[in-house]
Amino acid sequence: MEATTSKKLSNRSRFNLGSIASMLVAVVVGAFIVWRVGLVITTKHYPMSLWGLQLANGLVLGGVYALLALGYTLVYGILFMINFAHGDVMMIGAYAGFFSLQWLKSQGLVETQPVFSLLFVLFVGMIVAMIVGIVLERLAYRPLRHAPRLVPLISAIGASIFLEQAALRIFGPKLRVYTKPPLIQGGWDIGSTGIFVTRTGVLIMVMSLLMMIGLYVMIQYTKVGKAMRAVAEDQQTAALMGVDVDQVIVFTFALGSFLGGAAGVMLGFHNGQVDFMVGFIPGLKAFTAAVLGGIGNVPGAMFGGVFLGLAESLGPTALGIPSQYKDVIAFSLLVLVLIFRPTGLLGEILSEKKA
Amino acid sequence: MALLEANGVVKQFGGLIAVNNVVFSIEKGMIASLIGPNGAGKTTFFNIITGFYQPTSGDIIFDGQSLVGLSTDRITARGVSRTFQNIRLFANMSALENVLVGEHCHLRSGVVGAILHTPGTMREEAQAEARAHELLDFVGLRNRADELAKNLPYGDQRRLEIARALATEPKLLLLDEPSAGMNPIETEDLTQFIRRLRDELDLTILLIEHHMRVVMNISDRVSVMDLGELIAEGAPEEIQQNQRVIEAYLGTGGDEMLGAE
Amino acid sequence: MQLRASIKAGTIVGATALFFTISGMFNALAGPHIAGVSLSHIILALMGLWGGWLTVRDLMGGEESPPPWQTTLSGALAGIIAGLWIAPLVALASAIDVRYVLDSVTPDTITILSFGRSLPQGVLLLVGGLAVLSMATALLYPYLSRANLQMRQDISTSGLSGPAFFSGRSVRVILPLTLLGLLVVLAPLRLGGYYDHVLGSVGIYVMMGLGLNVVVGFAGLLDLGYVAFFAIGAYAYAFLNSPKYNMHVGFWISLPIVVAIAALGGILLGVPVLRMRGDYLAIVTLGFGEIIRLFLNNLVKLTGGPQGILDIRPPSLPGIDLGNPLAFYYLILVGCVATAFVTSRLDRSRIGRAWAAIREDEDVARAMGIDTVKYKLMAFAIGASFAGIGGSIFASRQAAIFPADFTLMVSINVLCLIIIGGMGSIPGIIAGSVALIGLPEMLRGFSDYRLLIFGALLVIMMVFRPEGLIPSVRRQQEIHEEEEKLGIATAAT
Repeated sequence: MEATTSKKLSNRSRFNLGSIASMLVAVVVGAFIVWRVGLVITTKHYPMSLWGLQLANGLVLGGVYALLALGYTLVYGILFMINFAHGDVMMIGAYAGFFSLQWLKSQGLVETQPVFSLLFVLFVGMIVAMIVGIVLERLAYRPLRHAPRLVPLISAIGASIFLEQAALRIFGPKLRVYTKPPLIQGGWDIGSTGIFVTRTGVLIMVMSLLMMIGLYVMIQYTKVGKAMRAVAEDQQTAALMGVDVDQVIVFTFALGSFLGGAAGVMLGFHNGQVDFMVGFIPGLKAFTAAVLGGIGNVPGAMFGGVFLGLAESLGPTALGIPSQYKDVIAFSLLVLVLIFRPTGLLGEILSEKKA
Repeated sequence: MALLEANGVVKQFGGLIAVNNVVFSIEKGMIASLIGPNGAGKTTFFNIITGFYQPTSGDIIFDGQSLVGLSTDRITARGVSRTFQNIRLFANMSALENVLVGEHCHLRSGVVGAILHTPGTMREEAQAEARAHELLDFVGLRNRADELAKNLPYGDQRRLEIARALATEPKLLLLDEPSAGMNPIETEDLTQFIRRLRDELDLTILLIEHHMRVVMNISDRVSVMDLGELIAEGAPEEIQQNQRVIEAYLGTGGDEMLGAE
Repeated sequence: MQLRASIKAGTIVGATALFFTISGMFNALAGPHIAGVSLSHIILALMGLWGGWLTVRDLMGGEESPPPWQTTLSGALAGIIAGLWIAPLVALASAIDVRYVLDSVTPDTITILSFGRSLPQGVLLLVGGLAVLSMATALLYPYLSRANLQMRQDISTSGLSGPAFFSGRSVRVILPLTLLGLLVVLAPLRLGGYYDHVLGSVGIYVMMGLGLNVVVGFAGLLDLGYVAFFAIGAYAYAFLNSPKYNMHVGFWISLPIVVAIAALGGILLGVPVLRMRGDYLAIVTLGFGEIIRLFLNNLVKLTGGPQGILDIRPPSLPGIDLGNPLAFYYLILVGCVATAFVTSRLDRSRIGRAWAAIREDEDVARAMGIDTVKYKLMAFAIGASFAGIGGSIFASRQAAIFPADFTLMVSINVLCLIIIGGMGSIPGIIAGSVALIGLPEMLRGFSDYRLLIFGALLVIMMVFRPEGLIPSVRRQQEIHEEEEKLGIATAAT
């Protein structure tokens, strides 16, 4: 116990520059929020329907971020590396979904088998993303497992650039328009509130919720889930206990990419289009979401995703600033959380040795 | 006059009280030992003295002034230096560089001097290097100056860590289990060495030690901690007889361990 | 065993060839001809040779190497397997139009890969050709490797002593350095405007690389938002100088102001992140960089938004016109030399030691009396200052700046050139800038594939030579020691 304590303390000394500065930041940010929100409440009377719309939009976006954030959190929890290319793996999944959708459409299956074709598109996107994730791990990360931390990060950045550029060259620079199958076109009005909920949105929320529950159950109760947790805690001990560490790591990448592929297809339906850069910004946001919730923490990633989605869609309106600043809100949120609660809102789950 | 005084120091981690109401003092020029079973709070106490932890309550007075609230580097500048239980050298720096880092707070040259190589800076650097070589000589690492710290054998790493601590020109030196991992001959050397430190460099030394022969041989006074509390204090012979101390150690071999081995 | 080696080699080569095909690189390479053969066919042939080499290297690695007829056969098999990776695509693409999915697979691609023949013939030629080439290397490998070994021995026995004239360290080091220095100073005079401009860009990146090296290489703080300070420097100079803001401050007077602003920016970023651990720091700084860019983009009234700021004037010296690429090259060169001088002096001072100590073990550094807060902020501020200077030179050279000049890619480029060149090593950073910024600029003809190759290169580099091109001695030891240590640890489990 004594040995570990001396290792990780250090940052507890009291009034220093850091804590004064963070207090200052807190005051400034707090004052800014109070001022803007006050201004909006007193001067602008937005209709309920606007808020409702943004709430719904935020939840949908949050679902996508959450699915993507899971990929980051799983990999980070086990290998302690930021899989910078995860967003681009998602992008490949989105392309795969798009092409399978076009194929189904050309066969007329979208009309005759609506539910099947929707699931098929999702499945193809997930499988392709999974394959890309596995290959990525094998080629770009596995050889670097014992290198200092910066090395795999650079490799991941390289892989991210490579995947984007490869998609640009292979699939071409043009935007691919995701046409929604009739099953998920349109939506419903909620009573007389004026709030309109799209079918796509409902689908995305339901699907991401189901997948997250499935993932949670898997990690908590199945054998492979337990193996994953063991490896996250201590690779060498896990290996001594007969866990095949390599296999678990591959499985983790596969699982994260699988969910990422689903996020890609859903994002495709949500935005209605795909191009080669579609993974980059959502990737960063999803990592932010993972950190917000507490990295390594699976429910935390879900929570962080939804939280970020809501902050991004409701934030600009609530603060009365143009919506172009939504990315600023997202990144500021990240910086603030890391200053005031570096372990994330729900607390990170990492083995002590790594943290 | 007491060089270091701890007045009712408490350190609490959540529900765990790691150090409880410790009252403790060391006179100048003393070699004092802190012993106790694993998890007794000894290293935590070191960490409080050196400012790695802030005490939950209580005060630490060093050389007439409180150390509480000061950052670790300020405390070092005041004249408290330490080594670590599991050697923590700057592994990829040479032995000489390790010692030079220790001299840091007694050097003054800044950015301008470093860039322009002003005469003052050059002189200071030359002196610092000379002093570092002296210290390496003193601990017996004369020919190892340019070797990377991590390539040194274990015993030399311990010595280098002490040289680095000495470079900060401490009045009080805290040694955390200096004999850990040493064979009997090395341990004997170390005992002599610690005595030399006090006699030749006019230091006050507080050490945490499990090796009872070392403790009983060189300590002017021994303090015993158990479960965060200071349970006994006195000359080595008194401690060997103390019933509470023997009880505290019972799990690990009781009186035999306290005996002269 | 033999079969596995063939399959592995064939798969690696085949997948690479397939990637070249669908990403359109063969099309892009079809233009240039060497000795009447198009570059794409040459690359294809090299891939065939590569297949054989991979196979045999794999087979020879074992305890006893198999007889030559087996290795030759395995080589041929690897070639066939590689061919089978692309043959179906060729057949498919000549039957139906695949361009809806695979944008780059044009009729030209098919022509290239089937050597202008009709389908069955062409595919046979492709697969057969790969097989023959692969077999050829497999057959010749033992002789080649023996010759290679012989050559190395010759060099090591004869070359070690060398002529006495070159044995002195001063001569060996100083002579090439002087020649290089002369080249760097004099060559641009004869190169012409375009190359001067490219060299100037390389120089700006050298400055930024050296600056970021202070933060990442010396103090060990991973900063992915370095572009923010480049942007701050550029915009600060633009505010002071552009007629838009009516201040008309000249370059030389602006410079200290810009440095002060950038350094302040570095400190402001540094303070909240002081206590963060490595990769969180990376992400927060990345976020910081993006926030700055978004502000520049959206504060239209202040910064002109995406339209940027125009009419920024170059620096002037009495009697000399500094407005051409050559003059800028020399200005930047002076900046680089100054930066290299300052950072290397800092590295070898009390301050550099404090940074190294923080990088190695922050807790212990503190226990040795180092004010880690002060030195971390100092690293951020110094790093930011150099980026600020780079930014104002950039702004004055371009005469106009836009938020799009300051994307995350700039930060990543700078970080990568440090790492590719060799972290902490000043010659390495210069080599890295030339490799990363200079070469792609010069390979404009192939420019569509620049980033693609760049990305792949980063990964390959990290896998095969993580310490960089010209590593600092210490860094190289660090990386390999760590691997060894872990290697032993895993072997023990």
